Amino acid sequence: MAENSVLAVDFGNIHTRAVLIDLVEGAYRVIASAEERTTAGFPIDNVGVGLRRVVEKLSALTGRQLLSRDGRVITPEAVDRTGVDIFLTTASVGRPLRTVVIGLYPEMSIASVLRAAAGTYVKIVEVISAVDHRSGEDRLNAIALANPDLIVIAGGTEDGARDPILEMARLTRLAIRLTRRSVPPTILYAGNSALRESIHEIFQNVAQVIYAENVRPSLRREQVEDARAQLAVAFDAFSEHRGMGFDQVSYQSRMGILPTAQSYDSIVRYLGTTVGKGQGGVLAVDVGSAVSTMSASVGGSVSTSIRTDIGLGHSAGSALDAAGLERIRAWLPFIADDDEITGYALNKTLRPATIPQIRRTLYLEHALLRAALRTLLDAARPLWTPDTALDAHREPMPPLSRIIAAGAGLTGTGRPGMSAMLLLDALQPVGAARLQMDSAALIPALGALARLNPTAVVQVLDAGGLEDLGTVISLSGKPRRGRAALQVTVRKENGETDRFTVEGGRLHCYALPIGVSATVSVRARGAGLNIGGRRGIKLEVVGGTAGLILDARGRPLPLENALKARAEQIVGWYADATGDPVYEIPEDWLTARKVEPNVESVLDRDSRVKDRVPSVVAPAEAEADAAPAAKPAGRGSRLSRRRGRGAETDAANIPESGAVNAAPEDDLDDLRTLFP
Amino acid sequence: MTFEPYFPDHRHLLGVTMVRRARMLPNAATGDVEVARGTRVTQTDTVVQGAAPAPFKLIDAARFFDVRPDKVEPLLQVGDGSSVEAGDVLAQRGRRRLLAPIDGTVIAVSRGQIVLQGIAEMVAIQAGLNGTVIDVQVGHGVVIEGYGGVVQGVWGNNRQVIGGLRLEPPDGIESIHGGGLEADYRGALVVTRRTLRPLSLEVAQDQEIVGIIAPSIAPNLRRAAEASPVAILLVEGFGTMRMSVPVMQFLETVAGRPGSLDAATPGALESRRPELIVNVPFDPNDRPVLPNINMTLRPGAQVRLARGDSAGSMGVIVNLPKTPILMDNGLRVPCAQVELATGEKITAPLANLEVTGA
Repeated sequence: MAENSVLAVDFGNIHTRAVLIDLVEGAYRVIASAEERTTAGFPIDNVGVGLRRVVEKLSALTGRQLLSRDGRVITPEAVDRTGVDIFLTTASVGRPLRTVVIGLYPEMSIASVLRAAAGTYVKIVEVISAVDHRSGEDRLNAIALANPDLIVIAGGTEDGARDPILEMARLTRLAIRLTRRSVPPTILYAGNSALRESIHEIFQNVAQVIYAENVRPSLRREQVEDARAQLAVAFDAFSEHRGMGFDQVSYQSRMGILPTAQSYDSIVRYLGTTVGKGQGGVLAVDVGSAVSTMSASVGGSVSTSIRTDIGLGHSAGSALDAAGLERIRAWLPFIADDDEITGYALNKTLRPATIPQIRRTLYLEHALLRAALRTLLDAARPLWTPDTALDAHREPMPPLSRIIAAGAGLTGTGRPGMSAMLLLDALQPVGAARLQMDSAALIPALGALARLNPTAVVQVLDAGGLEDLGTVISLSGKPRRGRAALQVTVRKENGETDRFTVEGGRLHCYALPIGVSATVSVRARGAGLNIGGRRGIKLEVVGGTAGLILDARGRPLPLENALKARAEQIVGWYADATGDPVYEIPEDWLTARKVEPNVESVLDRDSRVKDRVPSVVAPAEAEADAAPAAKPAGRGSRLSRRRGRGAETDAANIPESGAVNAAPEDDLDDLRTLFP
Repeated sequence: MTFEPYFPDHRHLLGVTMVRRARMLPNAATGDVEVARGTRVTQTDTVVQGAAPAPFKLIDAARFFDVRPDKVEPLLQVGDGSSVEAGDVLAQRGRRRLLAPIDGTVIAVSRGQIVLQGIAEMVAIQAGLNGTVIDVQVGHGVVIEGYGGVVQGVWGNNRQVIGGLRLEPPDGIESIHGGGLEADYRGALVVTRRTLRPLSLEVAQDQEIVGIIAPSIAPNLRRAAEASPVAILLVEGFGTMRMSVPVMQFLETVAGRPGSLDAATPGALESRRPELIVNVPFDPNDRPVLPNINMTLRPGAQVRLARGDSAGSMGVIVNLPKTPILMDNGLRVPCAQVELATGEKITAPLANLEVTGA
């Protein structure tokens, strides 16, 4: 019997999001999506409540009964269309699995395990190798005192080493027995398969063992896919033990609870295969409250990186540690002392779901977001192209044909142009790329569904399930401000043609609505300028909520070093991206003063907005936000006057000096990046 | 007019309510629950005791005596579970004696090796409120139900204390230093309306104050606060924020009463919130009920503003626009119009509104 209707729910640290997918006229489509607050933690401490709320919301939207009277998801779908055929769940919520990795050599089996683990939510708390020169006692204590949820044992090529692995396994068993935990850690064995029987005997009656194919069957070959799949099994098993109602949710779900990040990996892998040769890669980035994920398909290889110390809510404090104060300060259009920046980040960890309410804290939030995203990118990029790992962050981004953003900080601005600008600021793509947002957690849903019904995944993606922000065309080089840097011709389907130029240093959003196609020709004007390595490009584009975005600011993005110039530059970009009037930074923001962190009451009182927007403007539908009309030089004369040729900083290479050192445990999280 | 239900964040401020709180051992600790279901407990009763994991010492007895591993057992002078002190004899062969290198407990003898575990750090968890044990999780902890006034904050330095609640002197905690009232604050939970300073921390420690309820502290003092033996609860956060007026008003009304300060450090999705629970009288014929945790925002609902011009203020929702609102800062998000006690009406994002549980 065909299984057509799918309900997929993703549990994030702040939001629980649900998507309903079904067959419509022979093709799978997104029927509706909904969002609720995640109900793990105080005061409810049961994710099942949030699940019921979000599914009830979906029911109200669609008129379909999806829950039984006792609050369970009805499966399979009944003749009267109540329920769904498939119920799937993914999660990034909660603390990651505390994981000990045991192997023979850091550059071999351990490196492979760390790469496999990059697709799920683990916190590597100990790495033990056969060559780490530690005594048996030290290793025993390392395992026992790490209090792990998961121990991954690998090592030995097929028919290779045996004794050192068995010795480590016996030590592990001793550590587990000595600690006498009510729920012992799960063992994932991904080493020499000839030892499986011995491993089984060693851990019999001590711990549950999950087996994966050897991650290093030979010295020259690595296979991490099965280990990744088994890590998902371990993640689900852990979910059942960690309380918060996950056991009940897992029981209802067809495939248990899958790690959200694995969905990113799967979908980016698929999208990578749909891109023609030479058209660039695919990048998806999710900056969540507690965890951030970046998946990239570049040059035929796929890589997913997870940082449990980077986020805009629960992990805002550790994101500050990871990015460093200077990287954040570089994005601020005002003077901020260390206490103001640190206070903002710490207060965000205390109230992770809150959003900036005044202008100054918006700039702080977005500075933190850009710096965090850039830090995530810097850590992830060496894994995309291991051959050039060491100098990757100095090189321009590899060509990307599609960039997908997720996470409320990026997708929840309510201003498509602003969301696009934040992405561009942090990632600095070159050439042309299609920008999309996933605010409904469609990618987590589709990644899970791909295991059961790949056809549905393809059809939903083809049908435009993701929100199109638009196509961005980025200028590389150092354009002169106030001078025409891009010559643009937009020929729409109806024959209407617009010709205009975009000044250097500007970000221009041309109003090209969703679904409207156009042929765009863009030429770089000026010495040393190019678009993805060419002087000009011509391409077919489809509009989006932000329109057609022409980024003539240059690559690397030149951030002014001088505060006043940078302040004008940044507020100018906000105005470009949103079509709002230019916000005039108050003079006293540009001079050192004592500011009360997060006391928004004192921050904006003396702020002024030129042509100030009323405090409560009309509801969303009353304002055409998508993009200003084709008026690229809206701030022309003023900008030309004020934008001198001051000293600039390459925004991609902002020094991290002054960064607070990450805690040792957090450093271990990054081990996977140390083993290319 | 109907509104899409929005479930806001909770930060409770309740004069008297039914309280259910879990009292559990830390994750890695193992131990025993000391009370049975149905037991009446007082704030200071220990309900669960345990030990944090201590390092192990592997002593290779077979190698020491130069015997096969299976020949070690007859030489042992201690058994599993024996407590030993450094220098005690673990095993003996003739005149050759194997001595314990540390104080600890013999955990196991395996393959000729003696496993000794060092002295574990003991953990004792107190009830923290007067009430009844309604659930026991063997080896982990209990759930207690009681009644009291509740003030929840945003941050704590991971200390739990019990004491009498006192307001700071008019010139602040710092004025206790060298004054004549020191003894009055010893063992007390002191409420200050001022941002904590380095001197506040010093004085609190010197004067043996056990806990402080303060609005805020500078970010650069976070480490000092974490290291302080005094339990610290922040109501507003890091910075120089002033104490929320409704919180201060409540604390003034309960000054002098005994309270339990759980200065929990918030973690992602913790079910614990840093909070003060105060013993307050209530009519036994009209017992308070649990806070409504399924409350949605609606016109008439009382809310507390978490951010913005009026952070810390209470107000009443007067309007819930159906569509997102464009705010001054350029974000367009779902908002509510809130009337403050002063009569001022402001627009605030729904995400920045908290309910107090009332």
